[in-house]
Formats: sequence, C-alpha cells, structure tokens
Amino acid sequence: MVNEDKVRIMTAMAREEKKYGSEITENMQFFKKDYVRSHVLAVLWSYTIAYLLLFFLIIFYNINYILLNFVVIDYLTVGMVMLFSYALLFFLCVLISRIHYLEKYENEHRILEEYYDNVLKLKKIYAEDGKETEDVNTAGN
Amino acid sequence: MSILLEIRDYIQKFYQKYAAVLNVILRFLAAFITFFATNRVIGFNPYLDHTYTELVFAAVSVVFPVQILLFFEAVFIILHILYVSHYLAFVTAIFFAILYFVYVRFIPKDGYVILSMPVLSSFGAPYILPILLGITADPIAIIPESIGVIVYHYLQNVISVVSTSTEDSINLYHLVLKQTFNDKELYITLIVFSIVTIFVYFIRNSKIDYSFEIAIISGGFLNTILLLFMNFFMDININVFRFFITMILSVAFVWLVQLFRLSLNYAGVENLQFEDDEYYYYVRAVPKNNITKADKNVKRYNAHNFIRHHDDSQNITETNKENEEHNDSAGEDFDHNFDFTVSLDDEYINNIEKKEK
Repeated sequence: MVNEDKVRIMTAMAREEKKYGSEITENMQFFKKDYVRSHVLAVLWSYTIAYLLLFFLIIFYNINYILLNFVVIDYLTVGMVMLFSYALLFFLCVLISRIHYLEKYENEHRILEEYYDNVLKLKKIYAEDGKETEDVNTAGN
Repeated sequence: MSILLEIRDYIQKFYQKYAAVLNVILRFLAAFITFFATNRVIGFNPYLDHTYTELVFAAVSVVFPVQILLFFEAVFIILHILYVSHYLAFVTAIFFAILYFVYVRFIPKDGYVILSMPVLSSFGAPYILPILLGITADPIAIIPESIGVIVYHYLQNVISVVSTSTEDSINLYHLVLKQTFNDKELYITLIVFSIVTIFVYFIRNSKIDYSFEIAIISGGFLNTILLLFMNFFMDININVFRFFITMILSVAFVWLVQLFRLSLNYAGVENLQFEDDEYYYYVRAVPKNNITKADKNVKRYNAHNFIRHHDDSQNITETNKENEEHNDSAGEDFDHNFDFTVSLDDEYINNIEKKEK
C-alpha cells in the first residue's frame, strides 16, 4: 500500500533537487559572511580581468599614437584616470554583488529550511513504518 | 483551436516518453543550426564552411555540457575571422573574453539569448526575440538582447571591412570600431527592441483577458511602426516587403510558442475574494486549456448469448440455424438482443482487459 503523504513529500523534495541541484546544498555549507565574501571576491576577480582586457584593447587601438608620442604622454594623468576608474568599478562591484549575494543567501536558506523540514517529515514516516530506529525528534539529525 | 491543443498534448506526451533521446537530438539540431548560421553570415574559412564541419562541431558539442556550445561558437567565429585577419581575430577574442568575464560567467543562461540574436538575424528573423522575451522574461532581458544586437552588428561590420580591405593591419581594427560606433542601424535596433520588449512585458502582465495574445500582436505592430518610422527619418534601408513578411511570421511563431507554453481559457475566469489573519486577497483564477483526445474504441456487447447459456429450464439441442432463430426470437421477446457502443480511452480499455485476465 503506497503511503500518499510519503510520495507527496518525496515528490516535493525531488522537484527542489531538480530545480536547484546540488549548488544550493553546497552553498549552505558556508556561513553567510564566508558565502558573500567568496562570491564578491569572484566578482572582483572577473571584473578586474575584464577591466585589464578592456584597457589592453584601448591601448591596442591607440598603439600608433602611443608609439609615436611615447616620450611626451602624460603618464601621471593616464595613471590617475585608470586608478580612479578602477576604484569606481571596484566600489560598484562590491556594493552590487554584496547586496545580490546577501539576498541570494537568504533565499537559498529559506528554500533549504523547507527542504530539511520535508526530510524530517519523511524520517518520521519511516519511523512510523518501523524502518527507522533513531530518535527522529533530535534536531538536525 | 482544439486541434492545436490536441497536437500540443500529443507532442508533450511524445516528448515525455522519449525525453532522453529527444534532448540529445534537439541539442544537436540547435548546435548545427548555430554553426550553419555562422557559416552563412561569416563563412570566410573554406575549411570550416562545409556541412560536415558543422555536423562534427555539433556532434562534439552534444558530448559536452550545454554551456560549451557558447564557447565552441566563439571559437568557430574567431577561426573564421583568423583566416582573413589576425588582428581582428585577436580583437574579437578579447571582446568575447570581456563579455564572458563581465556577464556570461554570472548568468550563463543569458548566453543563449546573446547567441540567438545573431542566429535569428542570419535567417532574417530578429524580430522574434524582443516579442518572445517580453512574453517569457523580465525587462532585465533587455541586457542580453542588447548585447546580442551589438555582437551581430560588430560581426556585420567585420565582414564589410574585411570584404573591402586588401591588407591585414591594425587599421582594420580602427575601421571596424569606427563603423560599429557610427552604425545608425545598431542604435535604432537597440532602442526599438528594448521598447518592444518592455511594452510586451507590461501588456502581458496586465489584468485583461487574452493579455498574452494582445501583447504579441501589439508588440508586432509597435515593432513595425517604430522600424518604419526610423526607416523613413533615418534612412536605414529596410526592404519593406521582406520586413512585413518576416514580421508576420515572427508574430505567428511567438503565438505558437505561447500556445505550447501556456494556453488559457478566459471563458472560465473566476474572481475571488477572501481573507486570512494577515491579508485580504483579490484573486483572479484563469483555468488552463487542457484537452485530452478521446481515442474512440468501439466495442459491441451482445447480451442474448449470456441469457441462453444460463437458462437451465431449457434443454435444447440446437443447430446453428436454430441458434440464430432462438437468438432472434430472444431479442424480440425479451429485448435482450441489444447492441451498444462504448467510447473509452485506450488506457482505460487496457486496464479493464488486464483486470479481466
């Protein structure tokens, strides 16, 4: 005889697993601070590399001018422009990515809590069926 | 309309049955179409501009994860450009790398939107995308859509510069960039497509009946009017006849996609109001159009044989002829000789037959 409650819970869990995959359980191994910091760092690295590539494209575009006026170019101004633009990019990256990943963590945490609730319900059903001997009331077990 | 719903139902059941195989085939087809479109648009490298090359690349991309198609397509384009200009190939590679680090790395799924714009444009149907994104996505989809438009126009400018130049030098890079920045059609396409996507999105989100259908048709109209307006004032050389045909086909295609995705029955709309401890709810429930095709299977049940075999009071030895006469008379006297037809789904009939066995 099929236990309808069990099938309902297992279907919900399978649906969550299929939708979010293992990423959500991997992410929840981190504390909030570590999660946000690691992702913000990843964003910073990507945008730094993109900035350097873009800078290289700009230099490549103006290579003729640079080679002809190598001695007279005001490198200080160029350096300051680069520095300030990178600082602005850095600030925006940190701000936007921090907000985004904080929200994402909260969302994934809520989804995972619902998933673990289903796991506990399933464990209770197994216990009632006589297939589980552990104390199912222990939190986090 | 019901025929279309039946076809949709059949296709959905067919897909569910053979999903594993069909997914591979569809991925292969998508990859093949992408490489075919690239050869059609660029096609500089004669070693790559063959059907078997497209087939090989498509087959290889199926083996790897889905996201690898974007990487293969980027490599394919760079190899084409490398055949005619090393400088431009290098610049294009850096351009794609920047695109990856800034956007695609964080939202890989939008990479397909970026890829679909050049592919659809190569077949002359870029107008599908803004309406489709307005129906299926948020206004934020404007970003990958715009990137796709920029990539397509950049490639078009690369083709035009390479076709007219005689030497491979850094001047090609200057020319391509200048042409791209001065390309009126690029800016017009960006503005028009963004407006259409947002417009379609707001119409389909409104609380009116047939909002999806109205959004698709009005999106097509708006797209037409804006592009014709721009063509008149900015002189961007649109082939008007071809434009109208493509627009009509694009609207029809998006309507078909919407039918397969979500078909609603506005005749059965229910407006409900209820409350709980925290909120008062105004709910509008629109039922979906679900139709199951009745597979009619006619079975005839004749009861007079049953009556005869169970009549213990009679001890009759009958020939077949007498049998028939008896049957006929039984039908007339007792009204047991009846025929009726039953229409059941195949599934029900199979279940009944299994239980009888």
